[in-house]
Amino acid sequence: MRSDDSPWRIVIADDQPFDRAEARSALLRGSTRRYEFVECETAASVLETVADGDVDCVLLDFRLPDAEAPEVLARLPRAPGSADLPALPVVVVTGADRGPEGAAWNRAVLRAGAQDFVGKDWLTPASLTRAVEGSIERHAMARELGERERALRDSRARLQLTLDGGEMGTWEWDFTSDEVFYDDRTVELWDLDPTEIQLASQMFDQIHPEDLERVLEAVEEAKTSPSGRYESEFRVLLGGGHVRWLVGRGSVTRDERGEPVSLFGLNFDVTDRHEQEAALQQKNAEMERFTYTVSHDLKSPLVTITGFLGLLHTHLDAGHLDKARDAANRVLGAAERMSLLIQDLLTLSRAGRSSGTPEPVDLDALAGRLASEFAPRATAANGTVRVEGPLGTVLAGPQGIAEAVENLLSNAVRYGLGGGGSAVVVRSERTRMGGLRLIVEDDGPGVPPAYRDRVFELFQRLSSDRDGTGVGLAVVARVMEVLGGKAAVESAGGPDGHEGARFVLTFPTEAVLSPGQSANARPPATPPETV
Amino acid sequence: MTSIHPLRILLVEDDDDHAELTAHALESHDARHQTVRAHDGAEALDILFRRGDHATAERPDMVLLDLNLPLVGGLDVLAAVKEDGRLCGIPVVVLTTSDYEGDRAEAYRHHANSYLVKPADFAQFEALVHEFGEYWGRWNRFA
Repeated sequence: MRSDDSPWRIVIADDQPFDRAEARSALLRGSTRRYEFVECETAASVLETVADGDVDCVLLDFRLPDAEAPEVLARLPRAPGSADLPALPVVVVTGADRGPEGAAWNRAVLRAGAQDFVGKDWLTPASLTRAVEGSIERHAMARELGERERALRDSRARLQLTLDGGEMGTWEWDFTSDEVFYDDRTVELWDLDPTEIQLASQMFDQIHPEDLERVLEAVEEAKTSPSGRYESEFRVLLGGGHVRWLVGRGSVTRDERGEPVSLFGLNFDVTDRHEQEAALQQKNAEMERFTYTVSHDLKSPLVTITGFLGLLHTHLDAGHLDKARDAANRVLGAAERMSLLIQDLLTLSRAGRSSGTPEPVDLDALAGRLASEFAPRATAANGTVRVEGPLGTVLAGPQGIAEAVENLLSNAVRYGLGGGGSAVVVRSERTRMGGLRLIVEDDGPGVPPAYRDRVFELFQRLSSDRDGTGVGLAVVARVMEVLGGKAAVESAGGPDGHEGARFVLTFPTEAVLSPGQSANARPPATPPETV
Repeated sequence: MTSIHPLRILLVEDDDDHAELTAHALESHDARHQTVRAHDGAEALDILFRRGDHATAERPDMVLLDLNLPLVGGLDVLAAVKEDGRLCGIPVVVLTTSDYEGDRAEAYRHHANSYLVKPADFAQFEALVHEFGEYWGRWNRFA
């Protein structure tokens, strides 16, 4: 629409020059406004004029030589974003028929998008001016309304896109009825029955008891705070013992007295984030423990080295050569121990990466070879090492597995036989799930229950002897972790004093090959690599 | 240095070298100090509570305690001493390679009388032992 002082440009479409003149003069007489007229005799010229632009209204005779009003209306350009509103207001001048047929025409032109109609018979300056000016105003309003609707539709669509993209569910909690209205995504997130009316109090039952108080506090705060903002993070209990972490955000709406009426908000799933955080925290704790242990155990020989070097000086100054030699030997011993520690740490680090490309490892061959290697040491400790096959075949990095079994045998001979046992047995059994348990057990003193987890930790030793650095079982645990299996120790169930230690390596189903499979093994789904 | 009372010291240390270094340092402070060594936490508790082979063991005047011990750890020994009505008066000096803040806090939480980090230098080590020998020796006499 133009500013008020510029003239309105009206297209008068009528094939009768007399009728055009009459309309022109009626408008000029009926209004104080300035008009500018464009006169057309045919529908084609109307469309052409309108296409050139700058037309404020079309006064359209119902019947033009080349088309009737509904057809002209249909061919007019549309208002932006609208399918049925013509781009400009049209007032149709209808024929003289006052009967039912005339009424049908009137309805037809309105349906076709005209703003108004005027009967030729009642065409007066006042009625025509009212029709034209009213139409221009109404059309402007309709256009604006259409644009607002379109904007609203667009922003709704954008909101939905955002909610979908963020996998967010929306809900509104009516404080008066306690009812909660929700969308489909909320049904999914909370595992709700969509056919049921949900009360907030019922939904609270689904919130983890440890989190509920926090959620309720956040709601209370939203109700009382000026911003009305609500935010909380909580666990929702789902069927089958599953838990989902949700973030809830929302805003309280109030009535005219400022009383909270409802809480409108959204939920989204942050379970992945929580799981990752937990895993990261665990890794950090492991890392911290590792650094602590390593620094502590590397410092110990260093204290010995510097301590005895100090003593060495004292002994040399005093001429005590024997004592000086002893001090030097202590320094040497500590340096060797440090070197061993570093070597073992490198072994552990290798076990933590990958212990070779997975390939079928024949456990019988492996255990047989290691058993004969350990035989002399077992004999020296008045015991035996025996393999009770068949053990089976697993898909694993051969180097890592060899290292793990070797460490277990070495342990069993040293502490089992060394502790008064007489036999180390290597055997295996299948788990119900199709996994494999490789067992190395002895009839020595065993591992007290309190230490069964600790023995797999780095540098944890159960005796104060100097053999070994306490890395061996940590390597075993790491090799099994990389394979997706685990290492554990349990009692072998022997009599008091000879309870025995049963070390068990559990291989997951996917790492176990059935007898026929060993020749042409399937490749692993993912190579067991780790950080 | 004979101005102080000689001490009967229970040295709880699994590392032979460290035990010998500590014994040296104690002897250079005052040759009259008597040092009894426990190789691990369990043996230390047997000595302190006069159990098994140590039924006739004498109560030490102080305990020098390493933290990182196999099986029964240093903190377990510390807790056992401080929770026992008869033993809790015995000063326990933690002597460890760990300068980890968490270990220090745990030791003091269990009422350690002192927490000393083994220095990587013998002169320092000796000075440290002399210092607490001096301190606890006087304390012991006037107690």
